[in-house]
Amino acid sequence: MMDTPILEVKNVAKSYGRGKKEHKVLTDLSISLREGEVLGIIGESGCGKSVLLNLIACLEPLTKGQLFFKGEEYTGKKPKDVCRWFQIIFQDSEAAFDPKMTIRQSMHENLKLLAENQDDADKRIEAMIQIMGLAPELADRYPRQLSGGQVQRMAIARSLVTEPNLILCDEITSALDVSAQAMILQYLKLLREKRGLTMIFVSHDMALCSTFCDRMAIMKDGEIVEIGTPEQIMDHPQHDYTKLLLDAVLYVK
Amino acid sequence: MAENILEINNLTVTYGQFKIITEVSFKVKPGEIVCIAGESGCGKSTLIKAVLGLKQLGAQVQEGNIILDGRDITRLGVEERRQILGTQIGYVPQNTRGSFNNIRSYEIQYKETMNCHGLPFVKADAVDVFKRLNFPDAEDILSYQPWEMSGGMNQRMAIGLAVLQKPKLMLADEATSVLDVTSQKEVIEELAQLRDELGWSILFITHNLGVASHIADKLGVMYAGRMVEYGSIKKIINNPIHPYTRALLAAIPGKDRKMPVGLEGRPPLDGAEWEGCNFRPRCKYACKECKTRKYNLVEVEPDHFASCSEGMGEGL
Repeated sequence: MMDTPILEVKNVAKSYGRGKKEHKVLTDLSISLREGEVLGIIGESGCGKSVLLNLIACLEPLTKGQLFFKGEEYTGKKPKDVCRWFQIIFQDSEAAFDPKMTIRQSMHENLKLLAENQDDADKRIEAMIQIMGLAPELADRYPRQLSGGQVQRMAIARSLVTEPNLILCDEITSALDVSAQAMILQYLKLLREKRGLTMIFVSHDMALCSTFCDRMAIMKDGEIVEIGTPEQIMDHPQHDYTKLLLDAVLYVK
Repeated sequence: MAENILEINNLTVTYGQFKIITEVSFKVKPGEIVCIAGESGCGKSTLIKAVLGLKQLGAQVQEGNIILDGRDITRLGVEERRQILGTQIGYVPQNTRGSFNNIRSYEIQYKETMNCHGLPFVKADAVDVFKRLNFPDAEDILSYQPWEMSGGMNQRMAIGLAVLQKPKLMLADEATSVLDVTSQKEVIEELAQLRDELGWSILFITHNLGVASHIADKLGVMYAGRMVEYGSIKKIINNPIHPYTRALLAAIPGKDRKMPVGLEGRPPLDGAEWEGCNFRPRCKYACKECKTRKYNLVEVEPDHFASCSEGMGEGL
Protein backbone atom coordinates (compact mmCIF):
# COMPACT_ATOMS: atom_id res chain seq x y z
CA MET A 1 0.00 0.00 0.00
CA MET A 2 1.32 3.40 -0.91
CA ASP A 3 -0.04 5.14 2.15
CA THR A 4 1.75 3.03 4.74
CA PRO A 5 4.32 5.23 6.42
CA ILE A 6 7.88 3.94 6.22
CA LEU A 7 8.33 4.48 9.93
CA GLU A 8 5.80 4.79 12.69
CA VAL A 9 6.63 5.48 16.31
CA LYS A 10 3.59 4.93 18.52
CA ASN A 11 3.27 6.19 22.11
CA VAL A 12 6.89 5.56 22.87
CA ALA A 13 8.19 6.13 26.39
CA LYS A 14 11.69 5.72 27.76
CA SER A 15 12.96 6.07 31.27
CA TYR A 16 16.24 5.29 32.96
CA GLY A 17 16.50 3.92 36.47
CA ARG A 18 13.73 2.44 38.58
CA GLY A 19 11.55 3.39 41.52
CA LYS A 20 12.48 6.65 43.14
CA LYS A 21 15.43 7.18 40.85
CA GLU A 22 13.35 6.79 37.71
CA HIS A 23 14.13 9.49 35.23
CA LYS A 24 11.67 9.87 32.37
CA VAL A 25 13.30 10.97 29.15
CA LEU A 26 10.47 10.39 26.73
CA THR A 27 6.92 10.31 28.01
CA ASP A 28 4.49 9.60 25.20
CA LEU A 29 5.83 10.30 21.78
CA SER A 30 4.38 9.43 18.38
CA ILE A 31 5.65 10.32 14.93
CA SER A 32 5.27 8.89 11.48
CA LEU A 33 7.36 9.36 8.40
CA ARG A 34 6.45 8.90 4.74
CA GLU A 35 8.87 7.53 2.19
CA GLY A 36 11.05 10.32 0.77
CA GLU A 37 10.31 12.69 3.59
CA VAL A 38 12.83 14.66 5.64
CA LEU A 39 11.72 15.29 9.19
CA GLY A 40 13.66 17.77 11.31
CA ILE A 41 13.58 17.29 15.08
CA ILE A 42 14.56 20.38 16.98
CA GLY A 43 15.16 20.76 20.66
CA GLU A 44 17.72 21.83 23.21
CA SER A 45 20.37 19.63 24.79
CA GLY A 46 18.79 17.05 27.04
CA CYS A 47 15.31 17.04 25.51
CA GLY A 48 15.63 13.41 24.43
CA LYS A 49 16.17 13.79 20.70
CA SER A 50 19.23 11.53 20.53
CA VAL A 51 17.50 8.94 22.71
CA LEU A 52 14.64 8.89 20.24
CA LEU A 53 17.02 8.03 17.39
CA ASN A 54 18.64 5.29 19.47
CA LEU A 55 15.22 3.80 20.16
CA ILE A 56 14.24 3.87 16.49
CA ALA A 57 17.44 2.03 15.57
CA CYS A 58 16.89 -0.47 18.42
CA LEU A 59 20.15 0.51 20.09
CA GLU A 60 18.25 0.74 23.36
CA PRO A 61 15.11 -1.07 24.52
CA LEU A 62 11.83 0.84 24.81
CA THR A 63 10.08 1.26 28.13
CA LYS A 64 6.68 1.50 26.48
CA GLY A 65 5.23 1.83 23.01
CA GLN A 66 5.58 0.29 19.57
CA LEU A 67 7.69 0.76 16.48
CA PHE A 68 6.57 -0.04 12.92
CA PHE A 69 8.61 -0.28 9.74
CA LYS A 70 6.45 -0.22 6.60
CA GLY A 71 3.46 -1.26 8.67
CA GLU A 72 5.17 -4.19 10.38
CA GLU A 73 5.95 -4.06 14.05
CA TYR A 74 9.63 -4.41 14.96
CA THR A 75 9.59 -3.43 18.62
CA GLY A 76 12.27 -5.26 20.61
CA LYS A 77 14.40 -6.41 17.67
CA LYS A 78 18.18 -6.47 17.82
CA PRO A 79 20.28 -3.72 16.19
CA LYS A 80 21.68 -6.21 13.68
CA ASP A 81 18.16 -7.03 12.50
CA VAL A 82 17.35 -3.45 11.70
CA CYS A 83 20.68 -1.98 10.58
CA ARG A 84 19.74 -2.91 7.02
CA TRP A 85 16.89 -0.40 7.27
CA PHE A 86 18.40 2.31 9.41
CA GLN A 87 21.81 3.93 9.54
CA ILE A 88 22.72 6.51 12.14
CA ILE A 89 25.22 9.31 11.54
CA PHE A 90 26.60 10.95 14.65
CA GLN A 91 27.92 14.38 15.49
CA ASP A 92 31.50 13.24 15.94
CA SER A 93 32.16 11.00 12.97
CA GLU A 94 35.89 10.92 13.45
CA ALA A 95 35.18 8.94 16.60
CA ALA A 96 32.75 6.70 14.72
CA PHE A 97 35.43 5.61 12.22
CA ASP A 98 38.11 3.19 13.35
CA PRO A 99 41.26 5.34 13.53
CA LYS A 100 43.46 2.43 12.43
CA MET A 101 41.48 1.66 9.29
CA THR A 102 41.40 3.66 6.11
CA ILE A 103 38.02 5.03 5.12
CA ARG A 104 37.82 2.35 2.42
CA GLN A 105 38.42 -0.46 4.92
CA SER A 106 35.76 0.95 7.23
CA MET A 107 33.29 1.05 4.39
CA HIS A 108 34.12 -2.52 3.39
CA GLU A 109 33.26 -3.62 6.92
CA ASN A 110 29.85 -2.08 6.50
CA LEU A 111 29.30 -3.80 3.17
CA LYS A 112 30.51 -7.17 4.47
CA LEU A 113 27.93 -6.96 7.20
CA LEU A 114 25.04 -5.75 5.14
CA ALA A 115 25.37 -6.47 1.45
CA GLU A 116 24.95 -9.88 -0.14
CA ASN A 117 26.88 -9.04 -3.25
CA GLN A 118 30.50 -8.10 -2.56
CA ASP A 119 31.79 -8.10 -6.14
CA ASP A 120 31.58 -4.45 -6.98
CA ALA A 121 32.17 -3.17 -3.44
CA ASP A 122 35.03 -0.88 -4.41
CA LYS A 123 33.08 0.55 -7.30
CA ARG A 124 30.08 1.24 -5.11
CA ILE A 125 32.22 2.88 -2.44
CA GLU A 126 33.91 5.14 -4.93
CA ALA A 127 30.67 6.06 -6.64
CA MET A 128 29.15 7.02 -3.31
CA ILE A 129 32.16 9.10 -2.34
CA GLN A 130 31.91 10.94 -5.63
CA ILE A 131 28.25 11.68 -5.06
CA MET A 132 29.31 13.34 -1.81
CA GLY A 133 31.62 15.57 -3.83
CA LEU A 134 34.92 14.07 -2.67
CA ALA A 135 37.78 12.60 -4.67
CA PRO A 136 37.81 8.74 -4.60
CA GLU A 137 41.53 8.83 -3.69
CA LEU A 138 40.52 10.19 -0.28
CA ALA A 139 39.09 6.75 0.52
CA ASP A 140 42.61 5.49 1.15
CA ARG A 141 43.28 8.03 3.85
CA TYR A 142 42.81 7.57 7.56
CA PRO A 143 40.06 9.56 9.31
CA ARG A 144 42.53 11.90 10.99
CA GLN A 145 43.92 12.90 7.61
CA LEU A 146 40.63 14.46 6.56
CA SER A 147 39.04 17.70 7.69
CA GLY A 148 35.96 17.64 9.92
CA GLY A 149 33.64 18.37 7.02
CA GLN A 150 35.23 15.69 4.84
CA VAL A 151 34.97 13.03 7.57
CA GLN A 152 31.33 13.90 8.03
CA ARG A 153 30.69 13.51 4.31
CA MET A 154 32.54 10.18 4.37
CA ALA A 155 30.27 9.10 7.23
CA ILE A 156 27.24 9.94 5.14
CA ALA A 157 28.74 8.03 2.21
CA ARG A 158 29.44 5.05 4.46
CA SER A 159 25.90 4.97 5.76
CA LEU A 160 24.45 5.20 2.25
CA VAL A 161 26.67 2.64 0.57
CA THR A 162 24.55 -0.17 2.02
CA GLU A 163 21.39 1.48 0.72
CA PRO A 164 19.37 1.83 3.90
CA ASN A 165 15.72 2.85 3.77
CA LEU A 166 16.11 5.60 6.30
CA ILE A 167 19.03 7.56 7.66
CA LEU A 168 19.03 9.06 11.11
CA CYS A 169 21.23 12.14 11.49
CA ASP A 170 22.15 13.18 15.00
CA GLU A 171 23.44 16.79 15.03
CA ILE A 172 25.68 15.98 12.10
CA THR A 173 26.68 19.57 11.39
CA SER A 174 26.94 21.15 14.81
CA ALA A 175 30.65 20.45 15.19
CA LEU A 176 31.45 22.00 11.83
CA ASP A 177 31.96 25.59 10.81
CA VAL A 178 29.38 27.29 8.66
CA SER A 179 30.99 26.71 5.27
CA ALA A 180 31.45 22.98 5.87
CA GLN A 181 27.91 22.79 7.24
CA ALA A 182 26.49 24.39 4.12
CA MET A 183 28.43 21.88 1.97
CA ILE A 184 26.90 18.95 3.86
CA LEU A 185 23.43 20.36 3.37
CA GLN A 186 24.01 20.85 -0.33
CA TYR A 187 25.05 17.24 -0.79
CA LEU A 188 22.19 15.93 1.32
CA LYS A 189 19.83 17.92 -0.87
CA LEU A 190 21.48 16.51 -3.97
CA LEU A 191 21.08 13.00 -2.56
CA ARG A 192 17.42 13.63 -1.97
CA GLU A 193 16.97 14.65 -5.57
CA LYS A 194 18.99 11.71 -6.92
CA ARG A 195 17.88 8.90 -4.63
CA GLY A 196 14.77 10.03 -2.78
CA LEU A 197 16.36 9.84 0.62
CA THR A 198 14.18 9.45 3.71
CA MET A 199 15.73 11.06 6.72
CA ILE A 200 15.29 12.20 10.30
CA PHE A 201 17.48 15.20 10.91
CA VAL A 202 18.06 16.04 14.55
CA SER A 203 19.45 19.48 15.22
CA HIS A 204 19.17 22.45 17.52
CA ASP A 205 19.37 24.93 14.68
CA MET A 206 15.94 25.96 13.44
CA ALA A 207 17.24 28.17 10.66
CA LEU A 208 19.21 25.25 9.29
CA CYS A 209 16.29 22.80 9.41
CA SER A 210 13.93 25.26 7.81
CA THR A 211 16.06 25.36 4.68
CA PHE A 212 15.58 21.76 3.69
CA CYS A 213 13.19 19.76 5.89
CA ASP A 214 9.67 18.89 4.76
CA ARG A 215 8.36 18.96 8.28
CA MET A 216 9.83 20.17 11.55
CA ALA A 217 9.00 18.79 14.99
CA ILE A 218 9.76 20.85 18.07
CA MET A 219 10.67 18.74 21.07
CA LYS A 220 10.73 19.76 24.71
CA ASP A 221 11.28 17.59 27.78
CA GLY A 222 10.60 14.36 25.92
CA GLU A 223 7.48 15.49 24.11
CA ILE A 224 6.79 16.91 20.71
CA VAL A 225 5.09 20.22 21.35
CA GLU A 226 4.59 21.30 17.77
CA ILE A 227 4.98 19.75 14.34
CA GLY A 228 4.44 21.28 10.94
CA THR A 229 5.95 22.48 7.68
CA PRO A 230 8.79 25.01 7.86
CA GLU A 231 6.32 27.73 6.81
CA GLN A 232 3.95 26.87 9.65
CA ILE A 233 6.69 26.61 12.25
CA MET A 234 8.80 29.59 11.21
CA ASP A 235 6.06 32.01 10.18
CA HIS A 236 3.13 31.00 12.37
CA PRO A 237 4.47 29.31 15.50
CA GLN A 238 1.70 28.26 17.90
CA HIS A 239 3.47 26.93 20.98
CA ASP A 240 5.27 29.30 23.36
CA TYR A 241 8.38 27.14 23.31
CA THR A 242 8.58 27.31 19.53
CA LYS A 243 8.38 31.08 19.79
CA LEU A 244 11.15 31.06 22.37
CA LEU A 245 13.39 28.98 20.12
CA LEU A 246 12.62 31.15 17.12
CA ASP A 247 13.49 34.22 19.11
CA ALA A 248 16.90 32.75 19.90
CA VAL A 249 17.89 32.22 16.27
CA LEU A 250 20.64 34.69 15.48
CA TYR A 251 20.27 35.68 11.85
CA VAL A 252 22.84 37.94 10.30
CA LYS A 253 21.43 41.39 10.69
CA MET B 1 43.93 54.76 29.89
CA ALA B 2 45.55 54.58 26.53
CA GLU B 3 43.61 55.28 23.37
CA ASN B 4 43.46 51.59 22.55
CA ILE B 5 43.06 48.76 25.02
CA LEU B 6 44.69 46.35 22.63
CA GLU B 7 46.87 47.11 19.68
CA ILE B 8 48.14 44.36 17.44
CA ASN B 9 50.79 45.56 15.04
CA ASN B 10 52.02 43.54 12.13
CA LEU B 11 51.84 40.31 14.07
CA THR B 12 53.37 37.11 12.72
CA VAL B 13 52.91 33.93 14.75
CA THR B 14 54.31 30.45 14.18
CA TYR B 15 54.03 26.98 15.65
CA GLY B 16 57.53 25.65 15.22
CA GLN B 17 58.18 26.06 11.52
CA PHE B 18 54.54 26.58 10.56
CA LYS B 19 53.53 30.14 10.00
CA ILE B 20 49.96 30.50 11.21
CA ILE B 21 49.37 34.24 11.31
CA THR B 22 51.00 36.69 8.94
CA GLU B 23 51.21 40.42 9.42
CA VAL B 24 47.90 40.94 11.18
CA SER B 25 47.18 44.38 12.60
CA PHE B 26 44.12 45.74 14.35
CA LYS B 27 43.06 47.73 17.39
CA VAL B 28 40.47 47.32 20.12
CA LYS B 29 39.22 50.55 21.66
CA PRO B 30 37.86 50.77 25.21
CA GLY B 31 34.26 49.59 25.28
CA GLU B 32 34.47 47.98 21.89
CA ILE B 33 33.58 44.43 20.90
CA VAL B 34 35.72 43.13 18.07
CA CYS B 35 34.83 39.82 16.43
CA ILE B 36 37.30 37.77 14.47
CA ALA B 37 35.58 35.35 12.10
CA GLY B 38 36.85 32.63 9.82
CA GLU B 39 36.87 28.88 9.29
CA SER B 40 38.50 26.25 11.46
CA GLY B 41 42.21 26.45 10.76
CA CYS B 42 42.39 30.08 9.72
CA GLY B 43 44.41 31.15 12.77
CA LYS B 44 41.78 32.89 14.84
CA SER B 45 42.41 30.88 18.02
CA THR B 46 46.15 31.27 17.52
CA LEU B 47 45.61 35.00 17.68
CA ILE B 48 44.10 34.61 21.15
CA LYS B 49 46.94 32.33 22.21
CA ALA B 50 49.45 34.93 21.07
CA VAL B 51 47.73 37.61 23.16
CA LEU B 52 47.65 35.31 26.17
CA GLY B 53 51.30 34.57 25.48
CA LEU B 54 51.47 31.34 27.45
CA LYS B 55 54.53 29.37 26.34
CA GLN B 56 52.84 26.01 26.87
CA LEU B 57 50.21 26.87 24.25
CA GLY B 58 52.97 26.76 21.67
CA ALA B 59 52.30 29.92 19.69
CA GLN B 60 55.49 31.90 19.09
CA VAL B 61 55.40 35.53 18.10
CA GLN B 62 58.05 36.04 15.42
CA GLU B 63 57.43 39.60 14.38
CA GLY B 64 55.28 42.53 15.35
CA ASN B 65 54.02 43.46 18.77
CA ILE B 66 51.01 43.31 21.05
CA ILE B 67 50.29 46.41 23.10
CA LEU B 68 47.91 46.19 26.04
CA ASP B 69 46.76 49.55 27.34
CA GLY B 70 49.92 51.30 26.22
CA ARG B 71 52.32 48.61 27.41
CA ASP B 72 54.14 46.24 25.12
CA ILE B 73 53.34 42.72 26.34
CA THR B 74 54.76 40.78 23.39
CA ARG B 75 57.77 39.38 25.17
CA LEU B 76 57.09 39.35 28.89
CA GLY B 77 58.74 37.00 31.36
CA VAL B 78 56.75 34.33 33.14
CA GLU B 79 56.29 36.37 36.34
CA GLU B 80 55.26 39.58 34.59
CA ARG B 81 52.89 37.62 32.38
CA ARG B 82 51.27 36.06 35.41
CA GLN B 83 50.52 39.48 36.81
CA ILE B 84 48.53 40.63 33.81
CA LEU B 85 46.65 37.40 33.04
CA GLY B 86 43.29 37.21 34.71
CA THR B 87 43.45 40.67 36.20
CA GLN B 88 44.01 42.56 32.97
CA ILE B 89 43.22 39.96 30.34
CA GLY B 90 40.27 37.66 31.00
CA TYR B 91 39.80 34.49 29.01
CA VAL B 92 36.77 32.32 28.32
CA PRO B 93 37.74 29.14 26.47
CA GLN B 94 35.53 27.15 24.14
CA ASN B 95 35.53 23.98 26.18
CA THR B 96 34.87 24.98 29.77
CA ARG B 97 34.11 21.36 30.65
CA GLY B 98 37.83 20.86 30.38
CA SER B 99 38.77 23.97 32.34
CA PHE B 100 36.87 23.32 35.53
CA ASN B 101 37.48 20.28 37.68
CA ASN B 102 34.27 18.34 37.35
CA ILE B 103 34.03 17.07 40.91
CA ARG B 104 34.97 20.07 43.02
CA SER B 105 32.58 22.82 43.89
CA TYR B 106 32.65 26.08 41.96
CA GLU B 107 33.32 27.92 45.20
CA ILE B 108 36.66 26.18 45.78
CA GLN B 109 37.66 26.62 42.17
CA TYR B 110 36.67 30.28 42.11
CA LYS B 111 38.63 30.86 45.28
CA GLU B 112 41.72 29.11 43.99
CA THR B 113 41.66 31.01 40.75
CA MET B 114 41.24 34.37 42.44
CA ASN B 115 44.02 33.69 44.96
CA CYS B 116 46.27 32.43 42.21
CA HIS B 117 45.96 35.82 40.55
CA GLY B 118 46.62 37.55 43.86
CA LEU B 119 43.03 38.68 44.39
CA PRO B 120 40.85 38.12 47.43
CA PHE B 121 37.75 36.01 46.98
CA VAL B 122 34.63 37.61 48.41
CA LYS B 123 31.58 35.45 48.07
CA ALA B 124 29.20 38.40 48.12
CA ASP B 125 30.96 39.91 45.11
CA ALA B 126 30.55 36.69 43.18
CA VAL B 127 26.86 36.50 44.02
CA ASP B 128 26.58 40.11 42.94
CA VAL B 129 28.14 39.28 39.56
CA PHE B 130 25.79 36.31 39.12
CA LYS B 131 22.78 38.48 39.87
CA ARG B 132 23.92 41.10 37.44
CA LEU B 133 24.28 38.39 34.79
CA ASN B 134 20.81 37.03 35.64
CA PHE B 135 22.01 33.58 36.64
CA PRO B 136 19.23 31.43 38.04
CA ASP B 137 19.84 30.38 41.64
CA ALA B 138 22.55 33.02 42.11
CA GLU B 139 22.76 32.51 45.89
CA ASP B 140 23.50 28.80 45.85
CA ILE B 141 25.16 28.24 42.53
CA LEU B 142 28.69 28.34 44.01
CA SER B 143 28.03 25.23 46.06
CA TYR B 144 27.34 23.16 42.94
CA GLN B 145 29.91 21.08 41.10
CA PRO B 146 30.41 21.35 37.33
CA TRP B 147 29.09 17.85 36.57
CA GLU B 148 25.71 18.87 37.97
CA MET B 149 25.41 21.67 35.44
CA SER B 150 24.46 21.82 31.80
CA GLY B 151 27.09 22.83 29.26
CA GLY B 152 25.50 26.25 28.92
CA MET B 153 25.47 26.92 32.65
CA ASN B 154 29.07 25.77 32.94
CA GLN B 155 30.05 28.19 30.20
CA ARG B 156 28.29 31.00 32.02
CA MET B 157 30.13 30.12 35.23
CA ALA B 158 33.39 30.50 33.31
CA ILE B 159 32.27 33.92 32.14
CA GLY B 160 31.30 34.78 35.71
CA LEU B 161 34.78 33.86 36.89
CA ALA B 162 36.43 35.99 34.24
CA VAL B 163 34.12 38.90 35.11
CA LEU B 164 34.91 38.67 38.80
CA GLN B 165 38.55 39.46 38.12
CA LYS B 166 37.56 42.68 36.36
CA PRO B 167 40.01 42.50 33.47
CA LYS B 168 40.37 45.36 31.01
CA LEU B 169 40.08 43.06 28.07
CA MET B 170 38.09 39.87 27.71
CA LEU B 171 39.09 37.19 25.23
CA ALA B 172 36.35 34.78 24.23
CA ASP B 173 37.38 31.88 22.02
CA GLU B 174 34.26 30.39 20.40
CA ALA B 175 32.62 30.84 23.78
CA THR B 176 29.16 30.09 22.42
CA SER B 177 29.84 27.49 19.72
CA VAL B 178 29.16 24.47 21.91
CA LEU B 179 25.91 25.86 23.27
CA ASP B 180 22.46 25.37 21.88
CA VAL B 181 20.57 28.33 20.55
CA THR B 182 18.81 29.53 23.67
CA SER B 183 21.88 29.39 25.91
CA GLN B 184 23.91 30.92 23.12
CA LYS B 185 21.60 33.90 23.00
CA GLU B 186 21.77 34.30 26.77
CA VAL B 187 25.56 34.27 26.79
CA ILE B 188 25.74 36.77 23.94
CA GLU B 189 23.36 39.08 25.72
CA GLU B 190 25.35 38.79 28.94
CA LEU B 191 28.56 39.74 27.20
CA ALA B 192 26.90 42.72 25.53
CA GLN B 193 25.42 43.75 28.87
CA LEU B 194 28.84 43.69 30.50
CA ARG B 195 30.20 45.94 27.82
CA ASP B 196 27.35 48.41 28.28
CA GLU B 197 27.55 48.48 32.07
CA LEU B 198 31.26 48.28 32.67
CA GLY B 199 32.65 49.65 29.43
CA TRP B 200 34.67 46.52 28.78
CA SER B 201 36.44 45.58 25.64
CA ILE B 202 35.92 42.11 24.25
CA LEU B 203 37.81 40.23 21.58
CA PHE B 204 35.36 37.59 20.41
CA ILE B 205 36.32 34.70 18.17
CA THR B 206 33.59 32.93 16.22
CA HIS B 207 32.93 31.21 12.91
CA ASN B 208 29.33 32.33 12.92
CA LEU B 209 28.71 35.74 11.43
CA GLY B 210 25.14 35.57 12.73
CA VAL B 211 26.49 35.59 16.27
CA ALA B 212 29.02 38.28 15.40
CA SER B 213 26.43 40.58 13.91
CA HIS B 214 24.46 40.58 17.15
CA ILE B 215 27.29 41.55 19.42
CA ALA B 216 30.22 43.13 17.61
CA ASP B 217 31.09 46.70 16.67
CA LYS B 218 34.02 45.72 14.49
CA LEU B 219 34.60 42.60 12.46
CA GLY B 220 37.81 41.06 11.18
CA VAL B 221 37.56 38.22 8.68
CA MET B 222 40.60 35.97 8.62
CA TYR B 223 41.60 33.53 5.94
CA ALA B 224 44.66 31.26 6.15
CA GLY B 225 46.45 33.49 8.61
CA ARG B 226 45.73 36.84 7.04
CA MET B 227 43.13 39.47 7.74
CA VAL B 228 41.23 39.73 4.47
CA GLU B 229 38.58 42.20 5.52
CA TYR B 230 38.32 44.48 8.52
CA GLY B 231 36.11 47.30 9.67
CA SER B 232 32.72 48.27 11.03
CA ILE B 233 30.54 45.16 11.13
CA LYS B 234 27.52 46.96 9.72
CA LYS B 235 29.48 48.12 6.72
CA ILE B 236 30.97 44.68 6.08
CA ILE B 237 27.66 42.86 6.34
CA ASN B 238 25.83 45.36 4.16
CA ASN B 239 28.64 45.59 1.67
CA PRO B 240 31.00 42.61 1.85
CA ILE B 241 33.95 43.12 -0.47
CA HIS B 242 36.33 40.16 -0.27
CA PRO B 243 35.12 36.99 -2.09
CA TYR B 244 35.77 34.99 1.08
CA THR B 245 33.63 37.25 3.25
CA ARG B 246 30.84 36.89 0.73
CA ALA B 247 31.22 33.10 0.74
CA LEU B 248 31.10 33.08 4.53
CA LEU B 249 27.89 35.12 4.53
CA ALA B 250 26.31 32.88 1.89
CA ALA B 251 26.91 29.81 4.08
CA ILE B 252 24.63 31.02 6.86
CA PRO B 253 21.01 29.89 6.70
CA GLY B 254 18.93 33.03 6.35
CA LYS B 255 15.40 34.09 7.10
CA ASP B 256 14.35 33.46 3.49
CA ARG B 257 14.84 29.67 3.98
CA LYS B 258 17.01 29.44 0.88
CA MET B 259 19.64 26.73 0.88
CA PRO B 260 22.91 28.07 2.25
CA VAL B 261 25.82 27.89 -0.18
CA GLY B 262 28.93 26.10 1.02
CA LEU B 263 32.56 26.53 0.18
CA GLU B 264 34.53 23.48 -0.98
CA GLY B 265 37.89 22.67 0.58
CA ARG B 266 39.61 24.14 3.58
CA PRO B 267 42.14 26.89 4.16
CA PRO B 268 45.70 25.76 3.38
CA LEU B 269 47.65 25.12 6.58
CA ASP B 270 50.73 26.70 5.06
CA GLY B 271 48.56 29.47 3.64
CA ALA B 272 50.71 32.21 5.03
CA GLU B 273 53.68 31.03 2.96
CA TRP B 274 51.95 31.26 -0.39
CA GLU B 275 52.97 33.51 -3.16
CA GLY B 276 49.99 35.44 -4.44
CA CYS B 277 46.50 35.08 -3.04
CA ASN B 278 46.03 31.96 -0.90
CA PHE B 279 42.28 31.91 -1.39
CA ARG B 280 42.59 31.41 -5.15
CA PRO B 281 42.05 27.60 -5.30
CA ARG B 282 38.62 28.08 -3.75
CA CYS B 283 37.75 31.43 -5.25
CA LYS B 284 35.16 31.72 -8.00
CA TYR B 285 36.75 34.85 -9.35
CA ALA B 286 40.37 33.68 -9.38
CA CYS B 287 42.29 34.95 -12.41
CA LYS B 288 45.87 35.03 -13.66
CA GLU B 289 46.86 38.06 -11.63
CA CYS B 290 45.86 36.28 -8.41
CA LYS B 291 48.95 34.06 -8.72
CA THR B 292 51.28 36.97 -8.18
CA ARG B 293 49.08 39.56 -6.51
CA LYS B 294 50.59 40.84 -3.27
CA TYR B 295 48.45 40.87 -0.17
CA ASN B 296 47.38 44.42 0.47
CA LEU B 297 44.63 45.62 2.80
CA VAL B 298 43.15 48.79 1.30
CA GLU B 299 40.50 51.15 2.57
CA VAL B 300 37.35 50.80 0.47
CA GLU B 301 35.28 53.24 2.49
CA PRO B 302 35.84 54.92 5.86
CA ASP B 303 36.28 52.24 8.54
CA HIS B 304 36.16 49.37 6.04
CA PHE B 305 39.25 47.63 4.66
CA ALA B 306 39.51 44.68 2.27
CA SER B 307 42.42 42.92 0.62
CA CYS B 308 40.62 41.97 -2.60
CA SER B 309 37.54 43.16 -4.45
CA GLU B 310 37.57 40.64 -7.29
CA GLY B 311 34.15 39.75 -8.69
CA MET B 312 32.31 42.60 -7.01
CA GLY B 313 28.85 43.28 -8.35
CA GLU B 314 28.36 39.75 -9.65
CA GLY B 315 26.73 38.42 -6.51
CA LEU B 316 27.52 34.90 -5.43
